[in-house]
Amino acid sequence: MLGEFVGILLILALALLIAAGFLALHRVLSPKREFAEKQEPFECGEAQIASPHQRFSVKFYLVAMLFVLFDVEAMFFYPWGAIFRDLGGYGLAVMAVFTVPLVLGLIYEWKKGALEW
Amino acid sequence: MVGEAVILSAILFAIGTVGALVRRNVIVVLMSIELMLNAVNLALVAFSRQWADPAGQMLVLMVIVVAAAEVAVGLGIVIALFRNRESLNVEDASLLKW
Amino acid sequence: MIPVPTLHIVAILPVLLLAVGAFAVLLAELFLSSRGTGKSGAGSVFVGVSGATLLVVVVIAAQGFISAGAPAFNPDHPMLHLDRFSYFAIGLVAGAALLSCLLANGYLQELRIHHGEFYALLLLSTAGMVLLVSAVDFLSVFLGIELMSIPLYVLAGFDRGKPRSNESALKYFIAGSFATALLLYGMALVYGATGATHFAAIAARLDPDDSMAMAGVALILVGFAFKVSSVPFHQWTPDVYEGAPTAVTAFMSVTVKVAAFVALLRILAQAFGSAEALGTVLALLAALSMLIGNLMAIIQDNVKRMLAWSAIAQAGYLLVPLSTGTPEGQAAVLFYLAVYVFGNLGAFAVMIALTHRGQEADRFEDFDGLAKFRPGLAAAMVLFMVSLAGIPGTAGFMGKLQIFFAAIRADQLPLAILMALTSVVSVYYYLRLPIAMYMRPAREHPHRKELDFLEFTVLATCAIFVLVLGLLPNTLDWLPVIDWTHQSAAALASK
Repeated sequence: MLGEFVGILLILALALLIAAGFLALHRVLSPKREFAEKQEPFECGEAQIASPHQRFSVKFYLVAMLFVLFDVEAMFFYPWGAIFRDLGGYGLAVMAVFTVPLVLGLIYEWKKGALEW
Repeated sequence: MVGEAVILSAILFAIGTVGALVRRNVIVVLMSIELMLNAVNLALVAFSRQWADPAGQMLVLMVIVVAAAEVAVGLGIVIALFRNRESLNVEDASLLKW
Repeated sequence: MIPVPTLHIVAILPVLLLAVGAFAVLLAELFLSSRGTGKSGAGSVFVGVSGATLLVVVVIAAQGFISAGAPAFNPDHPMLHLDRFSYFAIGLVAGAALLSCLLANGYLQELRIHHGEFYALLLLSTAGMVLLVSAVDFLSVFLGIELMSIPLYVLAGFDRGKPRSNESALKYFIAGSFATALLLYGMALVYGATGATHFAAIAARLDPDDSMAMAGVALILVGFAFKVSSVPFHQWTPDVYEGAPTAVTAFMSVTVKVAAFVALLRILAQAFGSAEALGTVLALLAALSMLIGNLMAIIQDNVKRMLAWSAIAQAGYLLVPLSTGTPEGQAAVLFYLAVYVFGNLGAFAVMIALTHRGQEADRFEDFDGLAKFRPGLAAAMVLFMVSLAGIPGTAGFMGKLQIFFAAIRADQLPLAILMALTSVVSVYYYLRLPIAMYMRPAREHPHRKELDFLEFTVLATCAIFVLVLGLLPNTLDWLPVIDWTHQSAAALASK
């Protein structure tokens, strides 16, 4: 039982080792000549004009939140899908009742412009 | 098996409760409340197995969905507050004195 | 093939109607606002649709009360139980929501936040309350509480350009979802101890000596104590009441109290009957709430804050009969809730009627000499304050009398005496407004000078109910409120 996983573990260990090895080699072998300009962030050769710690647009969070809402509602579809055939027409009708408010919610956010960037 | 799950859920719930009460960043408070809800889910699933009864799992599905709705509303409120205030610290929300 | 269960749509008709109404208002908001129809035209559509929906729900509740209940939606797995007890509560909640929705029209226009979402959220929250008051399973209790609370968090922050409103929403949200988490963990522990979420099954298997079950019961109680804002779980109340738009404060201060107390009554009677220690705990919460609520209300300088502390004190009065567990006590809770709805809603209605151009009338100075400019409004405010204080001849006095007798018959004499004493203290702060209105020199107020028709209707309804419940609570043939509360309590016992 455990034997099946030994190969995978070996590959994982090897991958880690190689990555760590190259990083270490780079540390040891690379030439180090540091001066002020080199420490600055490089932006197409131009002097930096804005902080890299910029905030995302609030729109981003809005779309993310709307996604989470609809994504989680999909959870109810899964158990329904698993026994869809046993439930028959009744299950379909109930799921339709469940879906209508979701679709109305989608229409609402669409018309309100919440999905536009 | 069920016993361990319940103990773990109690620990998680305690961590969440303490976090919600002592942390000052709104986002961290939200995360703590989420942790409490997930502790509830863990306990419900464990008890559901112990009693061989699906009602507990049904409740878990409800909790997950409702918690997502709640957090979306919470984040919406935080964004509205942030637009007017530029701070995420609970103590800065002090126009209304306690 | 899984057999199709027999379903009784009548049992979920109120919830269904409220949900349909909410979506209708949302769609109306989308299509009316985008076509550039005048805002006032869209506004009357919102008020019309939501008002009509709520009115139909009130009628359904009355009809259901007369026919003494409806069958469960799915009798194999009953989640909701629509007996006289739930119908009484549904009527009260939907009635209060109807009055709040009529009040909102003028107020939201003055604040320039007149959007259809307000009414949709109000209807959805009411649907949650209907679920909560008829729930007989912890699953439906949870759904009801969340459907009631989540729209309220949004409503508290509805004036989203104002930091105060944002802050109120944030505090309400954090306190509310924390309470929900405690409540849920309590439900999980009770489920673990009994293997059931249905009240009757829990009652059959709950062991008062099982520490895990009792921890669950305690957590559920704490969750509800947050919702009804009882001391020591009340800290959020004054901030949320002050910061939220007044129309929202009016709505939530009365309806949440009704829904949460009614649900608590049912849970205590039908699920936790064997946990006798609960009576003592509830009595302690009652005593603390009455003391701290009334004392803190004295030192407030904002009328909404004062009413918030008064709401905490009123929660204390309501916990007194709740702790007795007798049918008489349950009837007293229902009667006092009815009294509280009309008295408190009336007081907020007066404040709403004074709001002008985004300027709220929520400081005591705003009421100085008001009797000279607005004698009718001032008189109405006196009536509501006197009723909240419980001075003889008003609804508040009748309600407290019921509580007093129920407590004495259940051997809770100390609580009854404490209630009488703290009520005397409360007269001091409730009469500050009448004194400001009638004795202080009049000033030029920036308030609105006219009352719109809907506000007049609400004020008149509240005033009439306060007078009728105070003077003739059981003499009118068509409005025997005390008999109704006893019939509801009887339905609770027969289950």
